[in-house]
Amino acid sequence: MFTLNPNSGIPIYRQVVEQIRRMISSSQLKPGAALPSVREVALTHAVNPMTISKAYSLLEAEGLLERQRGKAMTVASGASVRESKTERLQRLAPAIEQLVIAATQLELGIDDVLKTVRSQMERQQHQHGDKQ
Amino acid sequence: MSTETINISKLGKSFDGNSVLKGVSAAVHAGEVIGVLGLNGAGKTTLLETLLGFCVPDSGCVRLFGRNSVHALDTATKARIGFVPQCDELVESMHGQQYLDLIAGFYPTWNLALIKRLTDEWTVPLNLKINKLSVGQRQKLSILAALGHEPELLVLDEPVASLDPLARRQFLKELINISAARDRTILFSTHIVSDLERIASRVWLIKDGDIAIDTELDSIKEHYVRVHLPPGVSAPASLPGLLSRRQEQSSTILVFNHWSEATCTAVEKTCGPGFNVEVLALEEIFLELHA
Repeated sequence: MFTLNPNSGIPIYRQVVEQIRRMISSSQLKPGAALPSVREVALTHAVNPMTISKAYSLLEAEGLLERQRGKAMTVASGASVRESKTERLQRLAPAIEQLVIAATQLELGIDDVLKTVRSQMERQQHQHGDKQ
Repeated sequence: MSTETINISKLGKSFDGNSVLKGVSAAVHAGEVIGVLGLNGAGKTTLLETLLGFCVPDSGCVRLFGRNSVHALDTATKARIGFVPQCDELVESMHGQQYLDLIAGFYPTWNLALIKRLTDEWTVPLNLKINKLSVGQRQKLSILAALGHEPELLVLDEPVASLDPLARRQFLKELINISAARDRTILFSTHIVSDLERIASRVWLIKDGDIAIDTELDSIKEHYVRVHLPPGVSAPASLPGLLSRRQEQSSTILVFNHWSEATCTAVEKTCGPGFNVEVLALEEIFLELHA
């Protein structure tokens, strides 16, 4: 469920925290949903288990996740607070900044970039719809 | 904090008048996975071998599980340690299986099922004579010999240098299994920075005979950044947390080793907005530290 890049400059635990936050704020992860165990994530992605448990603990401290004794970590019941559109767009800002830098360096026009973004998003949503 | 598995105090070692370890001090706690980085000849192997007592230091001391390792360790403490040397010490004339049986005989407990599983998964031909094995197969056998007694402290000196990508990944997953299972401690040196980024919780950077950096991997990544100033903009002579600076065409590049919101504000104040902050992979950080 995660896309982790251990060789990026962003620590792994931050990547996990960010992705879970996004999935909760978009309701892809609903209250009560179980997360994979620390060991499972660590083995699937071949990363240190401590960095995954650090991510889970941070989200638990924030109240987004709940730990039940002997059971899987779940999305907290109060975690359904959906962020406003502005807040969600704010989360996208760093990625957009990177895109804008790359597009400018490549001397690509706004229309061409927007067209590509649109078609990629349409494809993504289409695939997502197929799965459900 | 949990108990100390390793305590190194002011360790010094010279070879022919060349000082290789210059008063190294560090502590390792149970459950940590420490990745050791450094240029060729930086002293990684000397450090690992000296802390295990294979090499007598000129000064300082090392305690493993509270025991002084400088003068031969007792058998009980040895049984808690597993070591994979950089150059394997396999017995050429034996078959792989004979060698593993020999090693197993030294320990009161030996996990046959674990070794059987790993032999199959890693496809190690135990029926062949060791002198007929490839370098990678020898390395796998050498690792098996260090894992069978399930040591609490596993020290590996460039264990994956000759392994193919598939074998490396299998080996990393086994290290994850080991570190996830109990409070087991792993100390390994490598030049494959991308492996280290996956499994290390802490990094030691060995430079000029000392541990120049001893920090959590996450923390290193958060504190080292490259800042690209817009063309023509210059930076003041001193900025907090600045490691180095250089000029590339008309742009100034600043490398920080203590990046924070405060430093970001300081850069904005003195250099104006419009600069670009680049987070760095560990390999890039390594290169910046040796630039």
